[in-house]
Amino acid sequence: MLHEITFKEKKPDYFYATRDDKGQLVAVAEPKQGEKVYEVAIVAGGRQ
Amino acid sequence: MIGQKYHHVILELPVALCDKHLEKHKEPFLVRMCSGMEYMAYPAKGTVCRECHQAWNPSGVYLSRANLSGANLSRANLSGAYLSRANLSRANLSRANLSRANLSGADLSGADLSGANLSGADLSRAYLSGANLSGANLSRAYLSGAYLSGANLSRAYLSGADLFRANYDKNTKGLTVEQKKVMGMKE
Repeated sequence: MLHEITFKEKKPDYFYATRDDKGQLVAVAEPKQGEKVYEVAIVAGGRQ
Repeated sequence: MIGQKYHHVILELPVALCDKHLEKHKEPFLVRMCSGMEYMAYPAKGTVCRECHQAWNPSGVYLSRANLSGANLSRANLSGAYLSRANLSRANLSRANLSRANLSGADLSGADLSGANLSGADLSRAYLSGANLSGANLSRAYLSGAYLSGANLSRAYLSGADLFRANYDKNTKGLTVEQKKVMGMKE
């Protein structure tokens, strides 16, 4: 399951997202203080 | 589709990992490729570990009937992906690799497919109304029964593409007279 947090500050190499009304996972580029967001570690996938 | 606003919708996919890497990844994580493509990876036990093989490329994924409306999938490698009847309306698929992808019956209305590689893709009965296919590679693509009304096919490469019974109208751009004849319809 995705880890939901109350946003305080950005961590390096972490990604922030939320779900929209359709249930789609949507990136949050600039989360606001106190906003409920998913905090997810980023893994570099290399070249395709 | 210049000026079109795309949501930053994230693909969510299971990824096979070995026991060692399942221990390392107890929670989902975001895979970010050099091209900028990214997807949410949900760890699952598998016989072939993606991390051991550094095989993070999501080509060949099963996304049938997925709702990816408005998603930004520019430059994504979705080669061989199963996207039958997926909702990709208004999605940004510019310069994406969709070679040999199954897009039959997919809703691609208003999608930006400019410069995309659709060689050998199955686009039968796909809804491409208003889609931007300028400069796309559609060689050997199967477009039978596709809806191309208002689509922009200027500079698209259609060598060997099957256009039989594809539907177009006066707003479809970039088709030659010969290609229209193959479609078996009159303007």
